[in-house]
Amino acid sequence: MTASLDRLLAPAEHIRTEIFTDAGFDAVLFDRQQGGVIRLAGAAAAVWSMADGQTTIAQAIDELADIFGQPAAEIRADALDAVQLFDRTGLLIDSPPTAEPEHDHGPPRRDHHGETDYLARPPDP
Amino acid sequence: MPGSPPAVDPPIGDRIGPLDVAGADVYIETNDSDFADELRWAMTDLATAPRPAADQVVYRTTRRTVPWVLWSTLRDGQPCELTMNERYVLFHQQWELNRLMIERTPNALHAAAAVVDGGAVVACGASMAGKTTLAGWLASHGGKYFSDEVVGVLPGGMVSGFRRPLGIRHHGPLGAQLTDAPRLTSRFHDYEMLVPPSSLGATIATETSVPVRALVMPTVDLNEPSRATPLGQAEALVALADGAPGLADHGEQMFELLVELVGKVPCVRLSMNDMDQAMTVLGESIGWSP
Repeated sequence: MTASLDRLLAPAEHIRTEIFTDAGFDAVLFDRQQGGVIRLAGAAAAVWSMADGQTTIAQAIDELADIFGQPAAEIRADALDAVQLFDRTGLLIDSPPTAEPEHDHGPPRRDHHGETDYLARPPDP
Repeated sequence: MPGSPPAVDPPIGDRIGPLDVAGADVYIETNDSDFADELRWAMTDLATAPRPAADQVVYRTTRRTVPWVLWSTLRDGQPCELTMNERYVLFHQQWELNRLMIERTPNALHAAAAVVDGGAVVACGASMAGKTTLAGWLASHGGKYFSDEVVGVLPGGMVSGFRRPLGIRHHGPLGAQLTDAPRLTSRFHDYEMLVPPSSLGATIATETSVPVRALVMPTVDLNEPSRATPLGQAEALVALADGAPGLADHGEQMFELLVELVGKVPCVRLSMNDMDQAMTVLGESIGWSP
């Protein structure tokens, strides 16, 4: 699915999220269907933390730009990469049904990190 | 040889047990007195008094010599394995007990544990990571042996244990502590030995459940000095999930217990070389004096 900027970021119902800020900014997701966990770190975790079912991709980019003090244009590429990752792994409620999980054998246990480090530190509360 | 009477395998002559496996009274019957002797020794720390109200599980592990030597194991009359060679049978028997333990432990974690200062140091990680070595070493150097292979995660940051024998290698740090020489040449051992922790000088914890004091992800690295590195909660959670058969079986409940655990106690990656040095760096990182 194309990552249109006005698309809502809404987690799929079978995904449960735990956010950790003790060592950077991480999201650990529990996949109720597969019985496994997925770790998102850096940019991917920051974008995922905005996925509340009410925030659009554009709003998430603006908010993250505000939090991290970076130009929205700089955040945008990473955010779109993150959304593509979410779609590939079926994490969003409207991820394409053809999305193939990366884990064909056994429960998933994946670590995903953002490409850039400006999102690696936790957002200010 | 023509005219010779057919060989007859001896009948069941030994019954070992009861052994406590997650609250069940387990008995192992066998027709080989050497195997019975080996079991009695290896399973010493699992022995319990008979409990009339407990579930009972009976294994029958027998040696046959006709038409050739092979071993078989039945559990409550149902076949588990029918064609084992002699060097495998003891380890298979232990594996059957592991399986029973996992079946009866709703939130099972693949881990070993020792109790120090009233709290469990729980060692998690892949096979051969050093979990048994760490738990066995702690238990024989001031701590108490609590569990190997399976730890049950309970609410409130508590764990339950499994006092199974330790699988140790002859030339490993724990193997050097074994002084019972006849056991070193058992026909039931291969590259690994199954030894009761008490034979290594370990004290055995009697508590059913204990609070967790630290989560440790050990590795063995003989090229670097031992060192302990704090682990973030997310990384620790993912590592725990990797070794949690209960996550597939009990899903979100197990996930919640693991989240609670990593939020309550220090999580440490421990690279082990010299074990005394490893205990020192571990102690410094979790506030314990070895």
